[in-house]
Amino acid sequence: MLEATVAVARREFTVDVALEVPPGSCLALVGPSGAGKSTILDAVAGIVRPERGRISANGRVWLDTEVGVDLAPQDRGCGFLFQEYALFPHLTVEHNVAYGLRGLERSARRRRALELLDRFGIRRLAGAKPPALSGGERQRVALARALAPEPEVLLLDEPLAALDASTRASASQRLGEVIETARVPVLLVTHDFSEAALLAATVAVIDAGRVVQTGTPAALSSAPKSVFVAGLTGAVILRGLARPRHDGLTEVVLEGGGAVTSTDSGVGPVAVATYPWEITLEPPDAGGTTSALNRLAATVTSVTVLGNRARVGLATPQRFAAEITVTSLERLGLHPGAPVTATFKATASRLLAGADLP
Amino acid sequence: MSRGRRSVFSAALTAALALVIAFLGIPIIAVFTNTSPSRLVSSLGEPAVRDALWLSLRTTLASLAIIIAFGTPAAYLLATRPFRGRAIVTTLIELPLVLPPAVAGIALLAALGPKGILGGALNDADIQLVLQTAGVVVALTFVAAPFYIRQAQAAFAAVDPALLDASRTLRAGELRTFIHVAVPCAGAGISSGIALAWGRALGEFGATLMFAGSFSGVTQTAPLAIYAEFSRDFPAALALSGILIAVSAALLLSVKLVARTSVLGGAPGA
Repeated sequence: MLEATVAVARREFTVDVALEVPPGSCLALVGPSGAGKSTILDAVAGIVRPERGRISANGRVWLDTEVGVDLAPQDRGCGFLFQEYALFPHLTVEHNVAYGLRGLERSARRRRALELLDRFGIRRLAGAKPPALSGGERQRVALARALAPEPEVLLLDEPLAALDASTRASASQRLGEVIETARVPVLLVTHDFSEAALLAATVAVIDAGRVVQTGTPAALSSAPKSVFVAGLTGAVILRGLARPRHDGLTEVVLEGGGAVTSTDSGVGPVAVATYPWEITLEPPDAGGTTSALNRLAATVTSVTVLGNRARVGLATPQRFAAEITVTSLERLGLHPGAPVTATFKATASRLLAGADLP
Repeated sequence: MSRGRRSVFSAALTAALALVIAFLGIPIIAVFTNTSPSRLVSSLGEPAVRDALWLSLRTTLASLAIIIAFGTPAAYLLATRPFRGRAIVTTLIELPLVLPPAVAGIALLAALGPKGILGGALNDADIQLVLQTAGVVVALTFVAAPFYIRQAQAAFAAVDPALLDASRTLRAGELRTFIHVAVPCAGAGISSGIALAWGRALGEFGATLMFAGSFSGVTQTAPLAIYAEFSRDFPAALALSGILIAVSAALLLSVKLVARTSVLGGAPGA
């Protein structure tokens, strides 16, 4: 179990969080860059010294500012995967991996290093130097190096950010296996919610140094507590004024025209959060005898095809977007400027209080 | 039109480079055209020349050892630990770079000479510097150290801090991180700093003359011997100059080679 409560002063705000990660479980810290996520990792590893805090791993206290305990990074021994991997450029791959195995005999170090290189399928690179490696190979070496000393906690700082799109899928799968088989607490930092959802069981959303919402990825996207969390999880936002209806539903008159209905309750200025994949598009003159209560007349502003899906930009005039298949796109003949009706269910219209509207 | 202008510009650049090469190169070539190779070799056999070269080698190596031993940790501290007044300390260390050598000699006398502010303490400790070989080492160290420290500081500052953090999380303490990561990663800059400092020490003249004097076999390094021969035996001065140029060129070349191969071709450190 990793338990960390830390306060680290930064220029614009204080990073102030309390985290708990059970062994064998992965907690993802998600937020925009500059939110303080990496500072939290650095504090856990001992690279940054918090003003206040207490950190313990498996019952051993690493930091307790109240009683003046502050173990050096080398005495904590976190397995740390750095953003750009931070491989030692002057050492071979094998010596990089063996770097953290100082306590062992030379032959045991070599055996352990080669065993890990085998596990990640890069034994052939044992004698190579990092500058000669590809991004994906570097990530594998960095993982092997972090795991070699059998750390008590695994810290992953934007582990996929340095990779290009073509290697990211396989690297993400490899990372998933490492996290799954790790018997230690894993703390993952990423700015990408979908990456966090793929790799972590629990996600903590960080904004300006604070945890604003914690939950499973599914819980966060089905019930975001704020516009910030909704936006981070990929929701589109429509603004308007809410008033209760006599049937228990809530009607929101949107800014710029149109109205939607929600099963959530709310009064006054609100944000309606819905996901692009929850929105259905149909021709403007289609009869519309579906169960979806919300029907918005919109104009197509853009069409972006991603593989077999298409993201259709819409304006009511408020801007939002729908995600549909390329098959549907072709059938509907959508193009910028075309009129269209966007429909979605009242249950997919999450109301977020106006208090935190930007 | 524009093509013609460009070729005029290229011609001007080429002319400027040709002038620079001629101005810097001709005096060096002249040293060798005025001295036959056999004269160079035979002058190596003269005891005065051999003494001067041997003294230069010993004193410059001794001062390099001192500069590296104390300058490397100091440069690492300046590069990696921000503290109040760091800019002032850096400026203070760079000051000897711009001091006229005569001023450096006077300054050393004022500090470490018999009547200097530390002279009494040195005398009590029975340490003699003025007019001694040890004094040469002090003078060389004073003028050459900034060249090394500046280079080393810049080289350490250029090392990715994540590499040092990575080493720490891999159970290496600060000393081990310094030896096995910081120094090898800053290797190219450090070796060019050694070359610059060595070159400066080999050519040192003014501060040595004022602080340690010019006594054959004791404080008369190669540049001082050249000056001494200059009025007495010009061909001998030329021969010694030729040897000093050859040594300096070999030094510069070897350091450039080391710098080129240091990171990618360096020996494993772990």
